Amino acid sequence: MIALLPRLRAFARSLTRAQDTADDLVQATCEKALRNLGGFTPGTRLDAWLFRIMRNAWIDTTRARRDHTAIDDLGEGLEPAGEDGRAVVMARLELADVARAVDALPEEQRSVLMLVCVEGMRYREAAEALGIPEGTVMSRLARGRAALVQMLDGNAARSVSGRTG
Amino acid sequence: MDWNGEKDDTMLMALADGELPAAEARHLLARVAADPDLTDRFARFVETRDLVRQAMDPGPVPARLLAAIEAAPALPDPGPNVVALRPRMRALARPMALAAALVLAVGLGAVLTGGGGAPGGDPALAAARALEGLPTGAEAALADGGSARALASFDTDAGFCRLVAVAALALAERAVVCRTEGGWTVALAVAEAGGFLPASDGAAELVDAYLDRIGAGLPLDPEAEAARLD
Repeated sequence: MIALLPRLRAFARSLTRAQDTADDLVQATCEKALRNLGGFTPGTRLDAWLFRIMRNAWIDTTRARRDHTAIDDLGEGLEPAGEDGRAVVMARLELADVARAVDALPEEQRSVLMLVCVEGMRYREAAEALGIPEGTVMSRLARGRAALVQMLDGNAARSVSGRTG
Repeated sequence: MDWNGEKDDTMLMALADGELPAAEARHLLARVAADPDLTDRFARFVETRDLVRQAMDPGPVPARLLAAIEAAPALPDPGPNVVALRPRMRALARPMALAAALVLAVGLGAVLTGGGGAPGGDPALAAARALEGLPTGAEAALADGGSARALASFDTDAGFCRLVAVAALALAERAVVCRTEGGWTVALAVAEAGGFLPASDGAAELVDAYLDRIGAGLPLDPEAEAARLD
């Protein structure tokens, strides 16, 4: 279970759209799973089982408090990507845009992006963990990326026209 | 510029994600290198992967999270209620794997008996019958003076099932009852603290685990429930 933490955090992040809430959800999920180890069928995928528990726990949470939209801390905790201060700031801004765009995607696209692009899972692994066909993983991944390109291109166009105008 | 040619794009994406077999990847890479349009489209997949990875990188697992999980109990939560009451659980013999899993889940404190139990005397069964046709939230009196309440209804792998609370003089339990051809069947019953109080953590976890195992999703909304109760 400890080895699956990065994967769990990535999936949780796709549900909560905020890293601190995601880590709380991971903790709740693991605690719940540990109390119900007998509910796991040996020979099946542990990550798929944990994802199911996590999704249910998240549904419970959102049902309990409907006003949970905390997506302000996007782009925090990023590693500086450039050498000089200006480049660092630009990179941060750009990555913050990317994070916002990812969070604007439908959850089903965000979760495959998180698992494949961030966590580095193979298509087949992601498909099995999410309980969906591999073809569905690929089409969601492609649609999500196409939407990202569109959103980011739109942003770039706006900031360029903002600078000239 | 154009994001068309879906099949082609899927191949390009698979290439960018390292999903193609080596020979196929080499072949496609050569094509990509020779065609500016393909190069451009391929680059978008590489770039989006890279950008998303950087933008969404959650960093190392926080020590706080690791510590909390390592300290978490790996058995049913031994809440004071549950220990004092020694939860008694009955599960039908039918889903045997499930029953076995639940035994594990409860640990050694639970007593499991298979089969139908005392015929006619099962309060959960009486509750299921008393609540027949009544919506979630409704309460019904039982013949022995107790009462029953419908807490939720679900579509499950085992058919239409309801979560009911039973309260009588000497007994309080939460049960999952499922409709079968011959009428209602008690799939799971967990002893509980008195009255219609919220389920103790241990009992709730058991019921959750069971509902999860039989593929119950969210509780049915009133209309869907009504349709099934008709």
